[in-house]
Amino acid sequence: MQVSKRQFLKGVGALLAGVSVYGATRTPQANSLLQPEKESELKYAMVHDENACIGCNACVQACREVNHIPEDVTRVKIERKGPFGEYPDQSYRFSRVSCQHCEAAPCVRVCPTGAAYIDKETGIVAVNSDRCVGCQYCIAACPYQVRYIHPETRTADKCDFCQQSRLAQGLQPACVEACPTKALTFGNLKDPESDLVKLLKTRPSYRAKVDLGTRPKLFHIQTIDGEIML
Amino acid sequence: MCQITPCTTLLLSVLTLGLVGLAPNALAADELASRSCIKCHKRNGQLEGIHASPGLAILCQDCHGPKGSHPKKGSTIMTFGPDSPFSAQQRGAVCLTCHDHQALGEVEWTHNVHANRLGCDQCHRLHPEADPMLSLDTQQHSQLCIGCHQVEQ
Ligand code: SF4
Ligand code: SF4
Repeated sequence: MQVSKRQFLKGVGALLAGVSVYGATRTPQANSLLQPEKESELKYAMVHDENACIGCNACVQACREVNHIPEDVTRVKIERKGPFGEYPDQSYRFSRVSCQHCEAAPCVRVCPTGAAYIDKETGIVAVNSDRCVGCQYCIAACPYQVRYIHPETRTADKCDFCQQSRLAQGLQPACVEACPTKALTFGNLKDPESDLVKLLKTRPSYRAKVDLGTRPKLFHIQTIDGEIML
Repeated sequence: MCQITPCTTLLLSVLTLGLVGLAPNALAADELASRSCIKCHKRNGQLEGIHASPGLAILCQDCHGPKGSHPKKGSTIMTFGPDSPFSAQQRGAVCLTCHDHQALGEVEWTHNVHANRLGCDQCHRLHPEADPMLSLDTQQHSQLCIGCHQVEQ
């Protein structure tokens, strides 16, 4: 049988297209796009009540201890602004800076090795340090600037809601437990009976940089005393 | 390269003698008063920390006020610590005669938020050699906050 040049080219083209579709469907991202799995009943989030926070940094230290974070880096920071008002009646405002566990996480999207991932069970954005090659793409991509290279493992690190260190044992994240004023609330966004959801339904809250489309899961309850800040 | 040579020893003794010789006449009346406090307050009256540096020349009555009728009834002597009958503001005001609140706030922001709520003496100690507040590490610093701010579970 004679195969014309035209037919041959057609055949090769079809073969190549087939191979490339096959390749695309094998990446984990495409997997989740093409065949949506049954949604998990768990989606962890956190609220920081800036009215209750006193800026004591107990959360920062508890995290350091539990997750073995060396001195020169940190998974969580409490940013302090102020003083506001006239002496001797002054106040400060505090805001938690840590991983927002974005639903559309830029860090995960740029990670070339799949080390940065979203845990489907819990919605936690985590790092598989065995896979991380330390290329720092995620650090550049994170709009919240909460990632760093861990000086000991030389891999990317950040808050993971104490996934391994505490949640696995049925405990709350270290910062939540350490906070003396109960400024931190951690829980399941999908459970309407959780303290987290109740709090979010009764108090107005905000999230940082939502206009970037990252859909962060760290909520803040804004300080209400003092002047309105622009 | 600091060695005590016979020459410096001589110099020192001359200086000491000179001071001792001068002392009775040079002492001002209030310094004498300050010395009389120590006759009773041998144990709780010694000032040893930075406030005792000779350059400052702080006397008891600089902070505690004039003796008045103390220790008898009707004394207006200024006292500090948990048993003081004076308000936090009154006690703090004594410290603020020398210390500048703005400078304190710059060194340690928590000064500002407690300015009209706590007396300095509720955290600081100035009679002992070392004020515990000056050697806090970050953890002890947080613990200090928690000590008062812990809410019920
Ligand atoms: S806050 Fe940064 S590190 Fe955390 S999920 Fe979002 S992009 Fe990733
Ligand atoms: S432990 Fe609580 S009160 Fe202290 S800084 Fe952290 S969030 Fe604020």
